[in-house]
Amino acid sequence: MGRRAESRPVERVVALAAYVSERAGSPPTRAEIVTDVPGYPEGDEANRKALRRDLSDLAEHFGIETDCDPAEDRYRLRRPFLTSDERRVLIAAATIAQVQGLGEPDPDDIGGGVDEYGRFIFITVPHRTLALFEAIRARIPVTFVYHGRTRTFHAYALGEMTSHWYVTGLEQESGGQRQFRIDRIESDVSPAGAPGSYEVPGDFDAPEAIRGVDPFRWGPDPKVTARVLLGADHVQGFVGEYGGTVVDHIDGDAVVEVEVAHYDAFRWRLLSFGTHARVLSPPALVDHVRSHLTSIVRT
Amino acid sequence: MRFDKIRQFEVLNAVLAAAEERGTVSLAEFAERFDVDLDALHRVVADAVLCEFKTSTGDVIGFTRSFLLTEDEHLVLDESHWLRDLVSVPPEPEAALRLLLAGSAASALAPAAVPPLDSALEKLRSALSAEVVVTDARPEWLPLVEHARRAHKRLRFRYVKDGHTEASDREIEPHIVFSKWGHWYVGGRPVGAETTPSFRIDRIISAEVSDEEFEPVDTPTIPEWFDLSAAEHSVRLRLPRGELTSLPRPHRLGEISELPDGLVEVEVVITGDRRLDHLLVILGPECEVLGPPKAIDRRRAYTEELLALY
Repeated sequence: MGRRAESRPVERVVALAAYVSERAGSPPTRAEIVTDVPGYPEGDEANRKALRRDLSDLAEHFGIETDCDPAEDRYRLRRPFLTSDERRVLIAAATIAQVQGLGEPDPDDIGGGVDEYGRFIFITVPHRTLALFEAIRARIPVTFVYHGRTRTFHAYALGEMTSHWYVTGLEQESGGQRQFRIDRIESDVSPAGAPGSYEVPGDFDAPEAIRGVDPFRWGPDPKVTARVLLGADHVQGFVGEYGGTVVDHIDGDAVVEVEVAHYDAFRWRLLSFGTHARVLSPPALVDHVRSHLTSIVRT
Repeated sequence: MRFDKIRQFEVLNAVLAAAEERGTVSLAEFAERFDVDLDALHRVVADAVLCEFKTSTGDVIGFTRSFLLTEDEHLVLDESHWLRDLVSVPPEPEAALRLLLAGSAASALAPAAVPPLDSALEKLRSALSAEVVVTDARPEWLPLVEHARRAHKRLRFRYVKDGHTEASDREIEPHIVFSKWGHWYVGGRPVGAETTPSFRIDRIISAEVSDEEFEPVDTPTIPEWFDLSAAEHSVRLRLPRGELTSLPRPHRLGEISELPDGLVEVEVVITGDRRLDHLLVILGPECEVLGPPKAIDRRRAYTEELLALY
């Protein structure tokens, strides 16, 4: 080819990737590579070093890793992480959806080069999410202030629930599993230990823990099944936001049953539906709502 | 700035990625963005897209089919970004998280399962080294609303407006479906109106697609924010400081005055009659509505109305 002396690093490294890829069915030896790919120097030691450097560049700068079987002296590309179809749909997703709160993507990230003008999905993540994400990945204890108290926390998982982001894990002060709404954290999230300081328990169920941020499920009160009478126009709003099941209908209204373990939270939610929602049973919950309303009238 | 090997790889990756994701890019744009000489950038890109090697039979193979480098210094994706096809390492965790969230949100709009998206999201999850739970927050009527928008057909629906408790019937030309502030919306022109309000899709109680077609608009806009100032109410409260976290959202707090007994006084601005009523009845007897007088009266009257249910 007569171009050996003119070859430049990018050209050689890219050609190396193309060549080893093209030879997937018959992995090449080093001797074949340095002969067929332009730009390698003469001499065994020199081209060995150059190839090693190029393979390192390929991995570090392009994310393309190779394996070499020392016995055979043959080079193979590792399996791609994503297929081209998978990457294509992720690019399409990044074209329409912008994630705000995680910082700007690098230009060579998947989705980092898309045009931003056609976006119509905007996902906002609280700005402390990234620090908690990194803490979970590295298993680093963190501290932060929440409801005026400093907490030391072993974060296990992050999650989004009813349009809010939560972190769940083990609070060291109480020794119990806790969930915190991230946008209500009142301080920076600071490291409070070394990486690898804790393990996430093997039986930890992240989806269940995030769903459990709903105070209907983890509250301090004896768990009961509430029966709520809802106007027909409000059933979807109630069930969509707070869960529950329609079990009956009365004169066009619906009876919804929902588990409740936090009576104050239940009352707060029930009253947001005004006269379109009434708790029918159990008596403890009916009394809870009635006595609250009575106390206001008496003031 | 020195255009050394590492920098060449960095800029090349960015240019090739943008070409794949946009279809075409101007080298001049990237030369300026990365502060490198255009000729040098051209040379590096040409080296990559015109690279060649020999086969075992001695034939010279050029990898020129994936990108085109035009005479006016644009890089155009012709077939595929073959270098990216070979990437074996997962995206960096932050990028993987961003893609996971974008992909999960986009999947809500798909009328049917998209297997490559599902498998890509599964791979991203495995690469995070952290559990991130993203709930499927697709409102029940989103697929139908999106169908109406794509078909350019009017949409009839029953709707509970923000801050209200009564439902009403609407008919709109759905111009755009979008997701913002954690909710899905449809923006469009109500029949007979000139404005294009937005409706939260999870507040739609029932919906159907009309046979009436409409002329789509070229550039439907997504609102920066909703101006709800006309529906704002202002109430002055005296309450325990801890109660501030239980006020209905969204709201704005004025200056908080600390009182000696652990109470605070504050002006609260809240939007909509429904949210005001909610605010007035969730406050316990230890909370006092100081004004305006009509809010004090409203609290009593509304509480008595609710109490009558029991």
